[in-house]
This record gives sequence, structure tokens and C-alpha cells, in this order.
Amino acid sequence: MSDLSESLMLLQDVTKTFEDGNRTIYAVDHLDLQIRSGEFIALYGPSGSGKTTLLNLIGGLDRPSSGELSIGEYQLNRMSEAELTDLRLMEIGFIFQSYNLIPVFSALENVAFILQMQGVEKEQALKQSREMLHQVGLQNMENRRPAELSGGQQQRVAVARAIVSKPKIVLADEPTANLDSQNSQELIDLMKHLNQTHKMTFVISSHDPQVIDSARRKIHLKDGKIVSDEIVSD
Amino acid sequence: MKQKTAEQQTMPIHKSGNPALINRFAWRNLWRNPRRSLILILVTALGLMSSLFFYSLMQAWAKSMLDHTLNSLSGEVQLHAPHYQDNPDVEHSMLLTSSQLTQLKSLPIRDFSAHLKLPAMIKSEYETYPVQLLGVEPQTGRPLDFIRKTVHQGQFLNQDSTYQIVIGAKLAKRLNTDLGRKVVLMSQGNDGKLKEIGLTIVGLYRHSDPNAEAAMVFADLKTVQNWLDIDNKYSEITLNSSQPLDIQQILNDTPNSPLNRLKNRLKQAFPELDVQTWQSLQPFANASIKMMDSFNWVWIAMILVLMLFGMINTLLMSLYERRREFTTLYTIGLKSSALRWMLLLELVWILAIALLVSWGAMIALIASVSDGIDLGFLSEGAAWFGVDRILYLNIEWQDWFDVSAAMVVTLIMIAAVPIWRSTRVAQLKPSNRIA
Repeated sequence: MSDLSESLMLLQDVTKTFEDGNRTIYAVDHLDLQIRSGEFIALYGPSGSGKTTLLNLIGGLDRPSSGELSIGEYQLNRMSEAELTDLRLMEIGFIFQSYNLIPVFSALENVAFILQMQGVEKEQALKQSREMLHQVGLQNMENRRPAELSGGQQQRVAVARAIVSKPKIVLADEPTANLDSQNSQELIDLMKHLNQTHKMTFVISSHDPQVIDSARRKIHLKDGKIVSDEIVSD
Repeated sequence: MKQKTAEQQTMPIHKSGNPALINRFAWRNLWRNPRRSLILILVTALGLMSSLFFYSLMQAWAKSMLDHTLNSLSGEVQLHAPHYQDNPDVEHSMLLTSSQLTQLKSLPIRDFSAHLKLPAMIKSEYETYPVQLLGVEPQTGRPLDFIRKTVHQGQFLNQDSTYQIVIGAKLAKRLNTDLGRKVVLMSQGNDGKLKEIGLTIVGLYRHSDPNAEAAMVFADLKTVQNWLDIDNKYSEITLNSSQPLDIQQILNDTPNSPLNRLKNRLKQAFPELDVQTWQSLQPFANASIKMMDSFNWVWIAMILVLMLFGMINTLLMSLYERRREFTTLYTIGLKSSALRWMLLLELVWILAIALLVSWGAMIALIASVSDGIDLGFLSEGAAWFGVDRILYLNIEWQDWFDVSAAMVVTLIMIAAVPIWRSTRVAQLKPSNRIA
């Protein structure tokens, strides 16, 4: 893993527009942003401020209307859809608000899914996934399917799935929105712990004050622009 | 793409995904809504089974019609004197020399029969009826087997059957006569005069065609030749080619078929005679068999359309319900092509299970009717179509494979359209879908 100071992601004058009839909506408006390895970032702002659109751009799910966007040596603008899919598989972890686990797979299989898709042999993938579930505190629930787990447990599985392959960056979109405050805090603590122990970069979009307060870098978005970018010293 | 560290990655990236994983995923998806999958499997199996059953039934019907046609002394190829077809009387009989007989036997045939087939009147002490008299050599093998088997009272003719006759049970009833009684036959002799002969009924036969049973009578060839003063003359020679005729040969009738090759050789060997195949002599049977095959495929197409409605409807419902999941999978790195394969595999699993169920059910069904399907309830209607009363269904693996493959491939091809549409990258983009 890289040093904290190393630049991981660079957005230069990035704009994302959507057409609504004759009107052009600027979801992300001429935005410049540098994300360094090992950061724990909260993106916050009102609904429609561009948080999710920004996450989609960073995750290679959407292409900017203009501007340059790169992760490490990869220029996302110049990559094909297939290459972007490979990039997401290999380099980016995703955590969703509604967990979005595969319902027909057990917790262990859900986590191992990413590794197996990457080409890791099944036994090795299961071993690594078991260890990861242990790290997120679900060592006894590996054979349960998502429907047999609570919301908090499902989100822990989702976290394990996102980080099992040691991605460069983990993107989380409202990860605590469906959790009660206790589970939210536990999840935040878990993500912070993983961030510190694995030096893994987290970018979390959230309305949740618990998440925002725990972040070391807080980026406030409004109308697709960065209103404030605050780094909290330890 | 960057290389993972040894700790993280032990194998190179599989660009098309992990086939075993995708297959496992597809199989598990099949059972996420077991009732829906089972209904889909059942409906597909029923559709396949009904197509296979109908196909087998029609094949059995066509086979019965073919056997019936060829067994009624038609043979696959016939030789006649010129103009016999226009006027089948004694004047249009032909001489068959020993050298011609030798030549005939040298051809690629499995059997032949030379006989007299003439119009005659049969008279009992009560009634008189027109009949078709067949003067046959009793020792002739295969062509006469069918009538030998159907003699249910008395016996068929033999070498000592001079002045004996075998008639149909229906004719016997009409004539108000019976086994052991005498009848008188009248026909035109070689000299143009009407001749009579008294014959004893030694056998009564039954025939699936009631008209044939009332019209065809069999007498010893020599007796008839002597009676009508036409030594060594025959009115018809029927032959069967060395390669038994089947339905596929009829459907794929080409100038180079074994039957047409035999016909051409016969024309060369006997240029003075009229050579015709059964198709030209029995055009109705020939057309019916071909029509049945077409009807088979019309039926299969109808079943397919019905199945497609059900399948596409269920598939669309399933695809719509899982849009969010597809987006998640795409987001975490599953390529749209892998997703497409997964959905197609789900369909393939459903079809494979349905195929096994339908084939198993068909084998069981055919085993349960191994004694044949009695068409007695159709009565004379079946006879009118020229089929036997009992139909025997057979397991025709090649036909089953063809029918099943046609249906399965069509279903996959058509179902692939909504699958392809729902897994396009534009459809998988999260936009506002993922939260």
C-alpha cells in the first residue's frame, strides 16, 4: 500500500451534465479534487448536491461530460466499458446503502465472489473470505444467506466483500442509511479500523452526522461544486 | 491492469469471468423462486412432450399408411403391360420368360411377386358381387405375408390349392356363404368369352380396410391361368427394393433414391413394360405422408408460440425484478457479457431439465402403449385413410433429437433478445438505481 501522501485519484475540471428537456443540469460542476492513498473521506451535502454522481464518476460507472479523471496510472476517460469493469473488479470496492448482497449465495460465497471473479482459485478465495468475515466479526455466520442476517450483519458482509481483494479505494454510498445508530457506529468503527490497519482509502457519501464527524477529510458539496474541503488533524 | 501481489492474487484475471462460478450462480438463481421455475419447467416439458407425442403419433400413422399401401400387394415398384392401368383385363397381361425372370432376380430387390390381377364376378347361391381376382403363387414369400397373417378362419392357399379360393370375411357375409362352401367366379378369357369356374372357399381373411376385405379374392395362379387360357401370363409384377422404404426416404425423395434407381434399372431392363413406383400408383397415400410431416411442424410451431408466450412473460418478469441486482453485479465488476451468459445458462438449465422430464415421460408413455394404440373408435374412418387399426409408437431418437433441438434452439434464440436488451451496458449503469 502507498504512503498517505501519495496521490491516488485526480479529478481536473470534471463536469457531469444531464439533459432534462431543454435544460442542462450540472450534477458535477467543474470540480477539481485530489484523493490521496489512505484517506478517510466523507462527502456530504444536501440531496441533489452531486454526491452520488461524483461517486459514480470515481467508480468508473459514469463518464464525465468534460475534464480529466484518473486513478493511479489509469485515465478513466480513455478506458473502454470492459476495461472500466475490470478496473472496478480489481481496484475498487463498493458498499451500498441497501447492502446489495447476492441473495442466493451465503455470506462466505458473497465475499469470495469478487476473488473468484478475479481468478483466484475457489479454495484460496474461500480461505481469504473466511479470514475477512472473521475481521468484520462474522466468523460464525459464514454459511448464512443474506436473508438470514440482520441489516447490520449484511452491511458487514458487504464491507468484507468490498475490501477482501484489497482494492485501492472503497466507495460507500450512504452505508449507514438503513442502520440504527448503534449499528451505524459499529460500521463506522469497522471502516475506520480497516482504513487504519490496511491503509485503505475510503470515500463515503453520507448525510449521517456520525459518518461525517468520524471522517478525517470532510468535503461539502452543493450544486455539484465543492463548498468546503476540510482535513481534520488527529 | 495492475498485477496483484502474491498475497492477494495467485492467478491471472480470467477475462470472460469465472465460468464455473457463473454456472453455479445460474443454478442457484433457478431455485430462488422454486415455484416459478417449476411451473416454467413443467410448462416447457408439457410443450415438448406434446410435440414429441404428436410427432411420434404422426410418424406411426404415416408408417402404418405406408405399410398398408405397400402390403396391399402394391409393392414399391410395379410392372404392367402397356395400357393395363387403363383397362386391367386379361388382354393387357404380359408374358414373363425365364430369362426375364433371371434378370429380375439379379436386380437389387428383396422380394417380388408376379401375379394376375383381374376384374371378376363372384357368385354364391344367393348373391353376386364384382371383385378383384388375384391369381397368386401360394409359395410366394413376403408380399403375401400380410394376407396370410390375416386369415382368421381356414387357411391360406398352398401348393395343392387347385380350385380353391380365399375371400374376405366381409365378402363371405355379403354372399351369405362360409368356409368350405363353393362359389363361382366369372371373368373374361383370352378368347374374349366369359368363363366360369367353381372354387371352394378354404380361408377367410380380415383386412384393416373394409373395402379391400369385400373386394379382394385370392386363387392359385396356375388354376386361374389355365381357366382363362393364358399360360405364363401375368398382369402385374410387384417388387420391393433391397433397402426397405421408410418415411424419411419418402420425405427426401430424390432422383437418386434407391427406389428411383431401381425404377430406372427396371425401365432399362424391360423397356416394353410400364414401370411405376408406388407414389404414382398411390398418390393419395404419398401426399398424405408428406402432408403429415408438414402438419407435424405446423403443430410444433403452434406449441412453440404458446410456450414462448409463457416463457417470455416469465422471463421478463424475472428480469424486471432483478434489474437492481444486475446493476450491483455490474458495479462490482461482473461484465455485461458474463451477466448475459449467466441468464442464458439459467434458461438452458430450465430447458435441459424440461427436456429430461419430457423425454422420460415420453419413454414411459411409449412403454405403456407398447401393445399399440387401438384406433377402433375411429372405425372405418381410419381405414379410409389407409391405416391399420392398431398404431405402434416408436422411440425415434433422431426424430426426437431433431424436434427437441428445433424447439430448444428457437426458445433460446427468442429468449436471448430480452436477455440481451436487459444486460446492455446502458441498462446496467446505476444512474439512480443503486442506493
